[in-house]
Amino acid sequence: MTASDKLYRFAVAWTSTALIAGLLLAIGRQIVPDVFDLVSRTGHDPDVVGAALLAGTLACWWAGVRHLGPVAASPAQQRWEAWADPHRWQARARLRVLLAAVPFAIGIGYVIGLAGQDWVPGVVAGAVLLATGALIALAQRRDGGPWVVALLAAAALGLLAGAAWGPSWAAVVAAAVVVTTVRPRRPRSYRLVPRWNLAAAAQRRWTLGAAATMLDVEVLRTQSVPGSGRRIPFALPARRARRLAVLSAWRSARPALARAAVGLVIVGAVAEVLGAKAGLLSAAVLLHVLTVATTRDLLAWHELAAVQRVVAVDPRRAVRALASLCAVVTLLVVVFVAVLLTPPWPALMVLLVQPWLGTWSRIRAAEEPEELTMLSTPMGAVPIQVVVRLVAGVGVTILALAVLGSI
Amino acid sequence: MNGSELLAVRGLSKAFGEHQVLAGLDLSFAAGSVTALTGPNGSGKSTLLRCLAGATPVDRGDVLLDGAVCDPTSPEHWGAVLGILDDHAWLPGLTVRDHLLLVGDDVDHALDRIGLAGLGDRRAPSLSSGQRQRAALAITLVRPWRVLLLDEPERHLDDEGVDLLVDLVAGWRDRTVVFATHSAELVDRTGAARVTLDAV
Repeated sequence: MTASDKLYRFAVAWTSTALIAGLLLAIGRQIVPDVFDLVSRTGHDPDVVGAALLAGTLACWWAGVRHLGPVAASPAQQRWEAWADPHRWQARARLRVLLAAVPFAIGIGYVIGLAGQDWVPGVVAGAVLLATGALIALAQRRDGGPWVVALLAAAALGLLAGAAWGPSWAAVVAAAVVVTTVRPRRPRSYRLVPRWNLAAAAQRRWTLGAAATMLDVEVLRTQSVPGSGRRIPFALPARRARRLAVLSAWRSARPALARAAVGLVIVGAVAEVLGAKAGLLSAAVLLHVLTVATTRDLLAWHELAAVQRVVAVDPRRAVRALASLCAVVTLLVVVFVAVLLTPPWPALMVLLVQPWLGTWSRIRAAEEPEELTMLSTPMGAVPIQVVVRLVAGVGVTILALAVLGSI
Repeated sequence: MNGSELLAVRGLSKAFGEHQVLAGLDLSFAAGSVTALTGPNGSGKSTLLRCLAGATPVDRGDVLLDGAVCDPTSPEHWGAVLGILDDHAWLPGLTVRDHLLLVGDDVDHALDRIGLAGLGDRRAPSLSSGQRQRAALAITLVRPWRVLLLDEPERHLDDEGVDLLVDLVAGWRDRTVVFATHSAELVDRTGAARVTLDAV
């Protein structure tokens, strides 16, 4: 380690600690008490909720550092990330580390708010920061990122479920999160990507840049696709449209249902702790995530005329087949929301319509443009169609959130 | 047109903007024949194949199947005519085996014949270009297509893959095969009738 590196690490630790100290004053003594007053008034255990929020915050922070930060990156990995200009990249990466320290400090603020002490918080925060940083570096060197995220997420969701429904549910939910999140490693489908978290982040950035440069968003789809590639263990229907439905649903169902299960726990816990309206809003966000996950093949079908020609299924039947899993998952979420939150029927209608409107907007955005409109940006010319395509569907979700918020 | 002709174009014209690629083309392909489309870049080989496969709409003229004018952009046409063209693609969530199952049933035999027996459960984006080309050729084996349209089928294939392609073409004597190529060796080895297109 060079003297420059040592100085940088010291600066990071010192600045982060200073940030925490400042945030302790701003957040720990003002906002946190209000939050926990609300929690106490609604009859929940503030310690449990605070610990859950801390674990959730740490999970978010870890995910941010995992994808953005340079922690424990070897020179080879840094080169992969920074093949254009390592020095500029390192400068940006250092800035990102400092920014990533902010949510971490907020998490520490929750703990301080619980403790209610004056001098202990700084010492505790500094110790926790250093210990967590060391653990993260250690885990990342051993490519243990998914385990860290899974355990923190399990702790957060388990505690939230425990606060809402009791310790039995806490154990069940935490176990379910670990089981569904952590899975044996297997080769990703995009083999050129080294199995390293930072390289994966670089790959995402590379594909976005490549999509803009080549005026082709096909490269976005060549990233790894979750789900099993093993042989279908049952006989398939004879008709090709039904075969298309079964194959597509089978390949996407496992990750989609795992996300749905985790998401519904979050919706239920949010509704229990923060109220029905917050639960409704989180359900809309969950539906957006699930719709994107379950309509990947449907969107690809619309764009890939070659696949349509080879499979040779009636277009309307193909669309129905490829949309079936999305329909099932949407109904699952809406029924859950209807039973748990008993919202007014317009809210249910919004939740029912949102996935289809979002999918329609994504399909429309993916259609071949009659003419290309270029947008001048500091990164160079970017086709506005690519931008529209990347944000399509999100706009519908934001609209749904606005409507649900006003109901 | 005589009785043995399966696929034909009559007065086929296609332009891209100001650039006329095909102008009043008349061609016919006999049942069971193997035809190689040759010619310089821009002579319209791929465009002709795309028109025959329904991937590109024609400006003027007709495509005939079994002597009757047909709509190349209809699923009924695609059920009889397979085009493995330059836009060939795969659904991102499905494996190679899944794609073949969407087309026919004899998947294991096709994968084995094409040399991809151990790769059927991989998703197409994870395969190399040559393996993807082989997987595309496997599609020809899982359904009794009457017409096969192949755009540079030797593309990305190694020597062993080209040998396999030649063997496949030799076994397709009950089908009408039209392929575009720049490889004179492939034309000779497959014994294909050569049709040379000139730039308009």
